[in-house]
Amino acid sequence: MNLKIKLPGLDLKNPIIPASGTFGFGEEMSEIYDLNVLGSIMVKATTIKERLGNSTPRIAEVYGGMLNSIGLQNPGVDAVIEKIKKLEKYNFKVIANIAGESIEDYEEVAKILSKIDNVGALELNISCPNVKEGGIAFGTDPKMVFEITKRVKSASSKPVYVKLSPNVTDIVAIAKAAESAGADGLSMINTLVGMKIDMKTKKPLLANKIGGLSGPAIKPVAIRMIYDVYKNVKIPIIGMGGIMDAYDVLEFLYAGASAVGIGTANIINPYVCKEIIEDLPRVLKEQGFEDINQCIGYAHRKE
Amino acid sequence: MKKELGIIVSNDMVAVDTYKLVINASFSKDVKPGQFVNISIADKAHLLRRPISISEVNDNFITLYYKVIGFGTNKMTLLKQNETIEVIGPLGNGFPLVHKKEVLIVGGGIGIAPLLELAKKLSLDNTVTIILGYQNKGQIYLDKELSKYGELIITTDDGSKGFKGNPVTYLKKHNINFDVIYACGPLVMLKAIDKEYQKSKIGYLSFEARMGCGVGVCYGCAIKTTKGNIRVCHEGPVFELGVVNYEP
Repeated sequence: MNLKIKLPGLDLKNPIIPASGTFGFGEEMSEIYDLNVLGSIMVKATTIKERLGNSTPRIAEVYGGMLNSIGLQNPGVDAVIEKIKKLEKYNFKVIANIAGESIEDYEEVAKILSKIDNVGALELNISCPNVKEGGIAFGTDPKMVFEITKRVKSASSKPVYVKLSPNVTDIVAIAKAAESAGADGLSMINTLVGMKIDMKTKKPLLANKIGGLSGPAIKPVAIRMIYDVYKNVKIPIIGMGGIMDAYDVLEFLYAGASAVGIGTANIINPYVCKEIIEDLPRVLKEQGFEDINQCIGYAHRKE
Repeated sequence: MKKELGIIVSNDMVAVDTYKLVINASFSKDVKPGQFVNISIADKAHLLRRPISISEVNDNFITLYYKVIGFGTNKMTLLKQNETIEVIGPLGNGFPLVHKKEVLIVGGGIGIAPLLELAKKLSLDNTVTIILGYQNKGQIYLDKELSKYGELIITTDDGSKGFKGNPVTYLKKHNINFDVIYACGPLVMLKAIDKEYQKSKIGYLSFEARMGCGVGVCYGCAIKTTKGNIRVCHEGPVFELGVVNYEP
């Protein structure tokens, strides 16, 4: 059974990648299981300076998923370099997620992080709904997406994957803008903007009021968007949005993803990536495949 | 830390809305007082685990107390003997233990639960005084168990048993000698204790938080402290006096 997939900057031994923000910088999880089983890690979003994040509550459980409004808490690029270097001992290249408040911020972080040896690619986070400046503001206008992608591409010495926001009317237009600006790949989808009102206080539960909805509740949205984008772009897609098990992984691949990010499932079960990787050969066989590459875009086949 | 299917030994109501859950879990021998477990409620719609402090450890068994407040804890009341429950633990850092000291342990409401194993350990080589706060007589639990490990004082908000008031008002009216204070309970109680003793005493407070992962990766439970925004699940849940910043 072949699970290997080749993507720009990434030779994945399998398509399973913990999604950014649900795995820290791998430090804590490395004490839970041997990270060498993973395809890669999308590490936590990094900004030029330290960010303290939003006030708490930052987490709300909702039907079939959760809302988060962490607010890109991270120690800043200098400290992150050290954390990423600690992942050098593993047999995969890391995907560094970059964020910022201005295009210049993004360029600066891209320049710095792309120089680290064990960074295989960058993930351009223009879809975080939880910060006032930057984030989603860059990811919802095709012109802006084109501009920032182009600038980050020239600042980066490694391939760039643009992480798309689902909070748009035309995801294909955004995906095409990223592709025409030179993006090497796409990762999709980030969280959907949501809110929960607390029955006790009758006010928004999250301190930030709004948060990003993730978990199995958003899976059909992700599948539809990947399906549409796959038809319209040539660059590979790393798919994510509510994946809980190996069957979900294949659903994303059938829709058009070449690899997947596992996000909220890590929060529910810290062992989930390892468990999915172990189960994947069985499910692939059951679905009639010998090579995982045969699954990519299967839903689009005309026969 | 381990993930396993724990076998339920018992699950009984011990006070109003308060249940005692005993689970056979192989990691019990690794548990330090003040650590917690993350419990799956095995529901397809309510996916996050429930972080619950470990109250006591006996051989292969861990004892938890939980207050029924929402969907998850309501569902937990239905658990029956010999059924299984998926638990991850032990998580977080426990209470540091002191020796040959005068120790005061303060607990409020469901925050009393993690203090049992602590009192048991501290009573071995310290002099222990315990003050427990409840809303009313019907809410009282763990009083008999804790009385084995030190001098016990009970307070109730409505005065239906013991001192009328709470542990903080009790401490203002009575002079108790101690070197080290340990506390777990409502945030207002922890805040009052912290403000009162952070300059004069050594002490350790255990905090509750709305958590995502429980293992330090999601940063959902980070609280403001003198060391920046740090995670209750990973750097905590126990913090020294003077560390937590209570202002929103």
